[in-house]
Amino acid sequence: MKTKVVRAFTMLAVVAVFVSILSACGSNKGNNEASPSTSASPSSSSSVTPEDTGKKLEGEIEVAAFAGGFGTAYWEEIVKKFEATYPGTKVNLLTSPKLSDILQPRFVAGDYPDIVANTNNGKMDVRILMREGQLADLSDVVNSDTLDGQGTLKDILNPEVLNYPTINVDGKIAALPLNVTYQGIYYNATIMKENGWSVPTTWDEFFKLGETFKAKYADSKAFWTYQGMYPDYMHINFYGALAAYCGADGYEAIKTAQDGAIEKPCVVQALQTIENLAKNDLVMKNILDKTEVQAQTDFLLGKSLFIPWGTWAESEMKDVLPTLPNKFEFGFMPMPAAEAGGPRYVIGDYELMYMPAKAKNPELAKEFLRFCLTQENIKFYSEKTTAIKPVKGAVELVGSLIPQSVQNTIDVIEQTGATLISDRLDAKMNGALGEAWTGFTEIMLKKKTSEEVQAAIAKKFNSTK
Amino acid sequence: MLKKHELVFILSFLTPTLALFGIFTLYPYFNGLKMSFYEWSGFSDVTTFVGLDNFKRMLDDDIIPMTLKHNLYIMLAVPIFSFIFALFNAVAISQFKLKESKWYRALLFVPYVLPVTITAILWQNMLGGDYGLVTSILGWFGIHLDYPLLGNPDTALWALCVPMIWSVVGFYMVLYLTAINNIDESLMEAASIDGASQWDKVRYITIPLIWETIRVTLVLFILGAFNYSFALPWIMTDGGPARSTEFIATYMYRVAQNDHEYGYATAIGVFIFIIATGLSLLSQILTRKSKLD
Repeated sequence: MKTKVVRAFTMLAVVAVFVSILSACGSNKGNNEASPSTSASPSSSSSVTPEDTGKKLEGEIEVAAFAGGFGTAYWEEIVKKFEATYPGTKVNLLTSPKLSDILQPRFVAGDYPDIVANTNNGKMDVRILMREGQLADLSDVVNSDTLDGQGTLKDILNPEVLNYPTINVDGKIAALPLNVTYQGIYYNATIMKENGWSVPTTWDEFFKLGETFKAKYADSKAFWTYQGMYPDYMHINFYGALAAYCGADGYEAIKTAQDGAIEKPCVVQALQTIENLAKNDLVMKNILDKTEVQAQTDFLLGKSLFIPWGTWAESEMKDVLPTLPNKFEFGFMPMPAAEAGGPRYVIGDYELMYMPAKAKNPELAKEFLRFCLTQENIKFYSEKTTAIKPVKGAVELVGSLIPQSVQNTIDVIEQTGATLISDRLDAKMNGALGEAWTGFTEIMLKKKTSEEVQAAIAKKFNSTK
Repeated sequence: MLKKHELVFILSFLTPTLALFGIFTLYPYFNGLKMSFYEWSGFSDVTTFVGLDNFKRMLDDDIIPMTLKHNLYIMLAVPIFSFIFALFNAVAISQFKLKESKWYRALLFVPYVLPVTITAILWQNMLGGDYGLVTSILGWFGIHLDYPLLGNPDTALWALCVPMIWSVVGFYMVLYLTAINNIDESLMEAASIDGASQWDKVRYITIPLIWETIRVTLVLFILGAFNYSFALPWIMTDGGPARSTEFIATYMYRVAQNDHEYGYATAIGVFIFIIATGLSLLSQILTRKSKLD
């Protein structure tokens, strides 16, 4: 009897163990699904209706959106609006600040969402995804009509968008822009006004202003600060100066990793714009261990005149700005020119939305992309995020909804005629430029010259190509 | 010879453990080893077999020897200082029978249970160039730095060792303290009667009798130094300035996450695994001691 009980018990235990293991190993797709969003608001006032589009769309899509500085309110609302406009459809929303960590293993396992909206600054490189056949070509979407009769999507987007390296990948449209950010040099407009200084337009003028500034403020304020612990912020200076000294074509050659491009003398000239800051003692002291928030707070406290930054500035520092003793007035300048009257540049980048090639419901997903680009929803995006989409007439459309500093930046770009250059480099060049970030610090520490840093970048480039 | 039902009974208890060990430990190891022979972006199942290319590339990558040098540095500095401080504290607390010993014990143990992120941010502020406490104290002694401690390649690695030591001393102290408390009181009394000094007692009684514990901690020190070479530098210096605090683990992560070269990163991971296993074996061999008479 006792043996029988033991045997029965052991068999039960073995079965239980195997069942639990098998069930754990089995498909867990259901668990990965994002929880469905709350039910749609019937009072949604979208001006687009399914009747307008003449399409019968149904089913579900999953939208995976990055929960970053712009929050998730926009996503929660736009999903409701979409569901209300297309009755019978359902959007499962997945938002996370660690979106790429969630999506990367899902992509590898072949479990795709229908739409991915920004995975935080290229953590998942769209170009690699496209070249590995993971993304759908959205050419048909950009050539299709907008949902509110504004022509095609191509017509409403800024012309440079569809040539951008992370959007146009080998002639295919890998993604649509979610928003645009501009990077350049920000300055303390109050200090400039108080002293009656004019904003420099060439690097010579910039360094002359440096001498004037030093004569006036000595050690009490610094001419330049930057996010020292993350020297890659200085890429704004470097890329802007590369384009200025090597020309747009020269910059393009470097960006696309053409042989010999990085070894040209103009690269040294570009690096010298950083070296001169160090040599002329124009850089704030004690910054090499500072995080971006610490350095940016110093700038907002009026401890320096300039900082390299982007249009996310006001949004990023929204908690700090109200605590400042004096109201801060942002000034923006595109990168200085090599010589008077020469071309000027700003660095631009787009956050992206894309659709996996194996999206479960591609038709509905494409409709969602179009839906996000109606005039009303372009405005709605800025209202909820304070960011701006790269569409024609965007400032007129959303002007009052975006921060003053962003409006000012866009105005300045227009007034100066500065050209937008991308900071998305070819993967090979990206690796080599890891040396540049190290080099910037070595230049700041006066341990290396521009020539030595250029040689280090070139060496790295040649060893990895 | 086991009877059938006994075998089933034993297996029923072993299977879950073995299955979990297989799925979560062995499989990742073998899969990692396999991936180190491939080129892989980490974004899809598209992989290209490249044989030993990733390992060959490691030989030409001059960042790897640099990071290993940094690893070696903390692997020596952190254990040596942690060992000295932990043993000193343990001996002091146990032998001098301080009234406040419980407080010291708790106080010294707290850093060990703090999450590494908090330790990192705390020390980032303590060592900060503008307003850091350490910088201010150095200033009182007339030492004025040109660059902040964490922002200078000549001092950053040293500065990183401080929080590493600070956070582990309490843990090792408790281990040593437990071992010391197990030493027979009569041995100490006998030694005192024979005229042994405090130092003699530590040298000839305490250390030999807690040697087994020290041996275990040496392995933990070395493996711990590997672990600490990721999170702290990642948060406190991001491997900088100018790669002066780049370690093999931070470099591996950078290669995977920034350069999207998971194959190469995995090869570096395999290399780390080999080093860690080798070191652990080496430390076991070096600290092997014949039984005490």
